[in-house]
Amino acid sequence: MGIHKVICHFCSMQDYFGLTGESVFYSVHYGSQNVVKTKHFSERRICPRGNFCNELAQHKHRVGYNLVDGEFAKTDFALDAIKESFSAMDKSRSAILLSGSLTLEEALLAAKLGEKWGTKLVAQIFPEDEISAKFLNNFSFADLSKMQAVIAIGDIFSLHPTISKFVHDARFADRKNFLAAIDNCRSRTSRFAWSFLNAKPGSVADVIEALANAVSCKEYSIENTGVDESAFEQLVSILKNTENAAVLFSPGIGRFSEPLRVGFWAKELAESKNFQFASFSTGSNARGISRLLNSYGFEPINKVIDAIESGEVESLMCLECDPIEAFPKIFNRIKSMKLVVTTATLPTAIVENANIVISSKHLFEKKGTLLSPMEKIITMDDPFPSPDYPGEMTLLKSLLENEGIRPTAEISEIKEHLGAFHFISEPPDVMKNRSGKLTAVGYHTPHHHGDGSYTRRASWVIRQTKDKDNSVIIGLGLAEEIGVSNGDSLVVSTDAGKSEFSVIIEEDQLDNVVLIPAYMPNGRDVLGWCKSAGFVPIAVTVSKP
Amino acid sequence: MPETIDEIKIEENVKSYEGKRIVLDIDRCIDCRSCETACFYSHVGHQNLTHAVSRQIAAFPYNCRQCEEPVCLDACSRNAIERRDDGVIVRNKFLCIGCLSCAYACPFGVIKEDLIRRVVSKCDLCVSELSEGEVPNCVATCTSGALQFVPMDEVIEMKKWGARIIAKPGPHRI
Repeated sequence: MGIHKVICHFCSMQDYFGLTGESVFYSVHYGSQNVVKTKHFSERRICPRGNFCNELAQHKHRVGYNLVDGEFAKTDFALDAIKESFSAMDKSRSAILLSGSLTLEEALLAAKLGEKWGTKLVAQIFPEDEISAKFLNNFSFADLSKMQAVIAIGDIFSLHPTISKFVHDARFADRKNFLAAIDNCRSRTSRFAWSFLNAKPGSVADVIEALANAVSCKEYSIENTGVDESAFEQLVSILKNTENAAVLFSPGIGRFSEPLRVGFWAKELAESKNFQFASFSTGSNARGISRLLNSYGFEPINKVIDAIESGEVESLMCLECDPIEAFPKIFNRIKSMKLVVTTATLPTAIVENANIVISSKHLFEKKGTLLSPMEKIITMDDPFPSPDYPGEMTLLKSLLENEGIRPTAEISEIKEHLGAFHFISEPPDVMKNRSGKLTAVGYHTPHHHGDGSYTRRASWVIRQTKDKDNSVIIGLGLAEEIGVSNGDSLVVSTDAGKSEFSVIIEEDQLDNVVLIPAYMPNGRDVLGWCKSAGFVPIAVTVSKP
Repeated sequence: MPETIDEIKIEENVKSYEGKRIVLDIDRCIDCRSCETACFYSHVGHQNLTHAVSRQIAAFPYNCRQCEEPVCLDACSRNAIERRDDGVIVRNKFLCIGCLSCAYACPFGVIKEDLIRRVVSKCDLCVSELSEGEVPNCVATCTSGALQFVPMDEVIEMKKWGARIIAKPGPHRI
């Protein structure tokens, strides 16, 4: 087996690396076994999630089988069962949810199917990536390491670790170069920042709007944002005198109360000085999928989830995603649906609750195209070999043929749909601030992002982090006030829900925030739902159990 | 003397990594633990690299320093630890009985005390990668460029780690 140049299905930077199956001499067993090994030739290195690809390729719990009502089934039988089941449904009351790690071809076929069924409820599952898709990037990875200044909005190092080398290279390229961070809590990124504007939760958009105005010599105000005025003015002064800089924006989940507004003003800030701009998604192809689906006029993910929650949806098709772990509140609704069909590579919660399961391939086992963060369409043509799992392509082709549609996905058609996307051009309305004296803010770690439904199943995570994954992070002052220490349990309550976590104390964290693990289902349970942008920070109370 | 092309290649590769060590640029490490996962998967679950975080300010991945006078080697009662001709200190998996003497002896605490299948785990600089002209997997996968595989004398001469910290304006993490 040779080396296959693949793209990680977690990688928002879409970096490539080599995967090869090797026979490795393993002394303890006094024998040999075939393992998948990584060959490092990527430019942007591989973050923990990328390293998991080794294991995911031959995971011991891999869904390498189809299931119909809990029984193993051959692919043809399972596909016939799906066609028959959908024919008995009102298909206009169906919803299709897509992972951010599908190819553009698969997304196009899903869109055609949704259009034929007459449903508007077709969406990709990462709400944060719908935000980032709304902004056109103009940057290059090569240029990034030459920037005089990098302005990071959100925790880019946690969500996109492979960008850190470029940012560090930029920091160290010249004595005057610097990194500035704007966020509502201390993060993995802000700890490296020469200038950190720590805004109150709910006011990050105001700070960036003020920054964009100040740099353009317009009137501005940072009142009630919690940002130190001298630090703000110092940053403005430096940005005014900076020729080449990059503004990097990563929405994350539950991080910003107005992520669209944050992104809009970040883009304005970049445009005001001809800086480079990049908004990063967490899914490897979520930007492209979001834009493609949007061009068909489908509803955004929050509307789809609202429709499921209200009982409007009677059948659901999930393509390589897990709405139960991503949106725990709709679990009972999904359980009571007439038909749930899913494709899957690992036994996530939706697999256990679906009527029909079709085994699928990982992104690095597929051929197809992706939309890169540099707004280029890239082709994957060297997939890592996998058994003949039917996957999304077979399922969608079968359903489209059943509907009398030719299941083709030409690149010209994909480009046409991507070109029809309307980027955000007007500043979004200011929304009501939902933060309080104490605010729950979502956080991620480099080894987890999205809903964490796959990364939590990697054996390195299971062995190394154990229950630390389900922890809230609080400041030292707050910990002393409540009377908890590292590892203790803490009950977190919001209007959205209530859940118990263990505690991690960070000395430099401010005492007005409680950082919630947004990659855990119970973490997502306590974050607030926003009508336009997924999960948002929300007022919170904490107590000992 | 090498006689075949393969032998010549191996000899050249050995020359290219002799005297090199894994060093850490502390002002780059973002605590992403990619190095750990790379070590975990490239050694089939025998992870030889861990790290510590100091007050959430700085992270320190720590791995074997390949000491000039390795105490782990002296402590091993079964001669399972040996220094190869190329200077890399390795543990012979067949001889190790998991007595943990090396782990207790190591002054840097880089040999993990938790046994995996009754065998102690120790960094071998990914010698199989080195012999192919590559770098250790933890270095190859480091997302921030914090871990580097460079000649030790070069690092000492340049003094660049300390110089960099002094040269940068503003507050520093350490």
